[in-house]
Order: sequence, then structure tokens, then C-alpha cells
Amino acid sequence: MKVVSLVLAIFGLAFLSSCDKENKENVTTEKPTIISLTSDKTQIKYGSSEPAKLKCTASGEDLNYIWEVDFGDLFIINSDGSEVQFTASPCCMGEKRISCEVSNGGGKVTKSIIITIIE
Amino acid sequence: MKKLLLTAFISISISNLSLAQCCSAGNPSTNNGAFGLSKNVLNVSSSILHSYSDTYFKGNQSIDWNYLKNMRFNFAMLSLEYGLTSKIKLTSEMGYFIDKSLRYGFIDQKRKAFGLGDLVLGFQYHLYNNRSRMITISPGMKVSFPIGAFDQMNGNIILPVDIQPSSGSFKLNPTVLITKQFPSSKLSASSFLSGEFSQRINTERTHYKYGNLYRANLKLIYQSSEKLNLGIALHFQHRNKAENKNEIMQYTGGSYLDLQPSFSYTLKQNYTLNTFIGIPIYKNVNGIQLTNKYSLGFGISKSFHLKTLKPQIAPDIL
Repeated sequence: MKVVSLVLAIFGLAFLSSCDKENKENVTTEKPTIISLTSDKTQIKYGSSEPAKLKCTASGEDLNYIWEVDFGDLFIINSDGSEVQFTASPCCMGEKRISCEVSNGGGKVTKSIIITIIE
Repeated sequence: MKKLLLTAFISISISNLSLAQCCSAGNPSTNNGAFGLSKNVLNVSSSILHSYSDTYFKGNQSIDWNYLKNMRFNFAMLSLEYGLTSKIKLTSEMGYFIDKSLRYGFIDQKRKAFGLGDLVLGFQYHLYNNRSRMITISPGMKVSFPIGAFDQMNGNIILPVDIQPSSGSFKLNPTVLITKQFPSSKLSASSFLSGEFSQRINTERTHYKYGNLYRANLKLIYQSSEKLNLGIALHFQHRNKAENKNEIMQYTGGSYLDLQPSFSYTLKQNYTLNTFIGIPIYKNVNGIQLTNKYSLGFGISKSFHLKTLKPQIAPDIL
């Protein structure tokens, strides 16, 4: 009898736990919004002497930041990944479009900014 | 059998790779060709290629430039060649970047990519054979398909185009192989000429076109014994400037000349070991660029005469 009670108790707990999980999954996460994407420079020299610092400000829960540029080098400089430093080698002179994608369970949004690499 | 071995050796011994440029996406450019084409012979070869670059050049002079500290890759390649007829050979190459990485000089960070490169399919046609002068001419064509990884990430950063394992671009690669053997001599010579023309990458991320690549390879092979062959090659390549968003990228492309000593050793059962080292002897780049310091290749190959393969199951038991 004791064994049956114990088994029923375990199943009961497991059931309640799964209900709780389902409830959590049913809570919809709102798609994030990018408030701004800014850079302290619009033009930098190639090399490492004058990096541009970019900041992607977004609202929403559990945000994940992904940065992209076709040529040039981005380095994350803060803990949540919302700020980067941008430099480029001589190969990459010209206009570079840097994108910040912000995502969470509700979806993703992208914003871009242009920085020009000069000699 | 001797002919088969010779074919196997020569096809591998010319498989030098064009690694003069340090930083470009996609497979290292291959320039393999064969003196002989044996019908129904399948040649399977597996190679490991290593390239290391740490020297900046401005024009044809090395300079101190503190941006990238070095760039390297280790690339594993599988090549298949098949003699469809006595005049037509089909080729395919596929490779995997075990490690493609760069380290920065001004910040303690590195970027690393790995994954499948491009798929290359091609053919070679045995156009001309002058038996008295012992000269052959074999034009061919290859096409590269960007099937590999082109969106690799490092943490929260999508890696730039030039370190991605796949080139992201279709490429057309016409080739011509000219070979010359000398009567009663252990010496033979070959010249391999090729071009590479890339399709523009048109994506949301980039509108990039690799500069056209032109290569010329002159190679001498000395058969020092029945099993051992020594080779020395001069490999020249010129790459035009790349374009991005219809603007020419001024600091891309250049001319490079490499010396490539190699040797090949034939083992039992048609296995052949081959290796080469690429040593840059002249570089002249547009603007400032990181250039290759050395490259190494090691491979093993085996040839099969498909018509002589015996069935594994006796037909009478089916």
C-alpha cells in the first residue's frame, strides 16, 4: 500500500511539474525592439589605432545579440554582447554595413549602420 | 601495371596547391593534372594541407604592420579521378577545414572556423599526343560549387567572408596541361596553366566578387628509382583586385612566385605517398596584405583498375 501511495505521489508531482512547464511555455515572449544602433565614429582609418565603438540598444526579454559585417573585424566589449568594437585591415576600405540582430523566443529584428574605412 | 603506376604517380605528383595567398575563403586552389589517362582507372587520393601566413607586404617589400599576427589553416582533401575513356578523365575534389584560424596582433583574440569547403567537379581531355616528340596537351574545365559552411560564427559574431570555409561563390576554372618527356631520360617536364573566374556573391550581407586568378606552373620531375620520384616546380600566380558593391577593393590581389620541391614514393599495391613544400620566393601585392610564409602538403593515393576488380560474391550462388 505504501509503495502504491509513493508511486502515485511521484506521478502526481511529475504531472504538476509538467503542467507548470506547459504554463511557462504558453507565456508568449514579445518580439524584441531595437531602440537604436549607434557608433561613436562614422569613419575610421584602417588598422587598429582608431576603432569605432558600436552600441545596439534593444528592449525585450532574454535578448541575444548577433553582429555581422562582410569584411572587417568585430569584437564584443561588454557582457551581454550589445556593444562591439570595429576595426578593419587595409583590404576592407570603403563603406561597410554592420548589422545588429536581436532575438529572443518571440522573434528577431535587425538594424544596420554604415561605417566608412579610409586610408 | 607499370603504366598504371606511372599514371598514378604523375597525376599525384602534379597535384601541387596554390597557397600563395593567405586569406581567401574556400578550398585552396588546386592545379592537378595528369600526363597519362588510363581508361577505367580510378585514382583516390587523400591529402592534408597546411598553410601559415605571418608576414605583411607592401608592394614587394615586407613591412612591420601590427594587425593580424598570423593566419593558418589545416585542410583535409579527398580527390577522385576516373579515366572515363582513353581521352577523357573526370575529376572531383572535396575538402574539410579542420582548422582555419587567425590571431590578431593588437588584441589578444583569435577567430576560428572549420567545416566543409567547396565541391569541385571537372574533366580533362587528352587533346594532343605527339609520340615522336613525346608531347601531350590536355585542356580541361572545373566548376566549384559552394556547398560548404559560409555562415560560421564565433560567439556573437558572424565571421567575415575571408575566413569562412566555403567561398560562397560558383567558380569556373579552365585549365591546360602540357607535358614533355625526353627519350632515354629519367627527366620529364610539365606546364600547367589555369584561370579561375568567380561568380559575384549577391546576398543581403555582401556583393563580393573575387578577383580573377591566373596561374602558371612549370615542373621538372626526375625518376631517381623505380619507386622514388623527385620534383621541383615554379608556381606563379596573379590575382586581380576584388570588387565589393561594384567598387574595386584596391588592397587586394597581387602576384606571387613559389618554389615547390616535392617527392613521391610508390609503395606496394599501388599506394603512393607524396609530399611537397611551398616556399614563396617573390611577392608583389596591391597595397598592404598579409602573405603566406610557407605551405606543406602530404598525401596518399591508390589507383584501381576497375575492369580488373573481382566480384566479392560468386555469381553462381545468387
